[in-house]
Amino acid sequence: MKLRTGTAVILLIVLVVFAVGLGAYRGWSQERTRVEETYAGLENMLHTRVEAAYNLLAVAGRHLDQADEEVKAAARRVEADRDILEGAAALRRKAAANEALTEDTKQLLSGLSGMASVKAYGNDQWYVDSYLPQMMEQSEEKTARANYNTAAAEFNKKLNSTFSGMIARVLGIRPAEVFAD
Amino acid sequence: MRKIVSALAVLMLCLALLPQARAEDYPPFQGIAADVAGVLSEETIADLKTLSQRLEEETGGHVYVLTRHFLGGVSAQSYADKVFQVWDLGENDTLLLMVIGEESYALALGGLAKAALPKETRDSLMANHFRSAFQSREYDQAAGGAARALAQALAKAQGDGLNVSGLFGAEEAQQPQATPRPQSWNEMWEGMFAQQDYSEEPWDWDTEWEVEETHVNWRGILIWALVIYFLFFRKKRRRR
Repeated sequence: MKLRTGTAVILLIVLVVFAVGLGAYRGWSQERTRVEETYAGLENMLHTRVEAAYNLLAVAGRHLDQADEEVKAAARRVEADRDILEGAAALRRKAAANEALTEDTKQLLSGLSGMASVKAYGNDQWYVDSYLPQMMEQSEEKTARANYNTAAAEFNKKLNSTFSGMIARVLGIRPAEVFAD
Repeated sequence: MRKIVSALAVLMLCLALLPQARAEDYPPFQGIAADVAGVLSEETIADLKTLSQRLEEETGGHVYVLTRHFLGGVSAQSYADKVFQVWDLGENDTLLLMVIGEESYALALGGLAKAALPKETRDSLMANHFRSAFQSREYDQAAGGAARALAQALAKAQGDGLNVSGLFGAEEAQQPQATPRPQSWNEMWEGMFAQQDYSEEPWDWDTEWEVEETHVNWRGILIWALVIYFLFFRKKRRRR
């Protein structure tokens, strides 16, 4: 009788642990999927930043021969930022590149705007003064609105502070990577 | 149920991560001319529609024109090919993409149009009728010239002629009411014959009038001779 009771208790504990573990794992997996869904939105928005950088460099490319070193350096930086955003870099690095892109495009646009060759060349003055800044601004706003960061931060906070989160971590659920600090 | 929801979520995530599958990158189908960049005049757009209508009557095909400012790093050719697919254009159709801010362009063609216009022919047409105007940022002239040349070549490849008179700044084919009023009887006869011979081609008065004049004079003389014959000689025969 004693043996039967002990076996039953152990079995019950095993079942409870298994149920809690399975529940925690499945629940946190779903949470993680939701965060990844918002990441897809962020990725999409970052793609518009990359496109904007390509467009800006297409215009800049027509005038770099006549540009001073400062403008040329800004163009090189925009190109580097774009490459990081487009590549498979870590999210923190992409966040840094995204912030740098905002500054670098402003400098490049400002440098191009004053150039005589830009003034003389078809639509380029309009591109530099109006079209491209607007496009960069819109893409910047969209990226900021992509709520990946909030979702990721909340997920990490819950994962680290709850009992089921601790179990989920033991079972292999990893914290989400944060886009910016 | 949860499994299905999870599977759907993962599927949606995968689809969202595909960079080339973004539907918003391609403008919706807007008919013959999709002037997204806003560089074409209303007249050119109207002429493109008329040209395409005439081409459709002859060959069943169309020449579409799409303008954009930039493509965000995508090559013009792959973008044009993708738009051709997204718009579900036909085997006889041709799409001309003009990327204004990047100074690039591309043609996408359906299977039959491609067979009718091999690459060398297309390159030659674009070099002669498009490139120079495009580089000079004369977008109306570039789009009109390319569309007209492509449409004519497509019609010719199928053994048809294509009437392009009155389109893209070309002079209208001479209609009877548009002909200058003749100043003499002889000119009246000339005008009559000229209208018959040149009803489909724009009339260049400076160069072609003199050539036509030599032909028509003979006809005029013949007609005057007949008139004189009926007036005088027939009467004389009766008197005899």
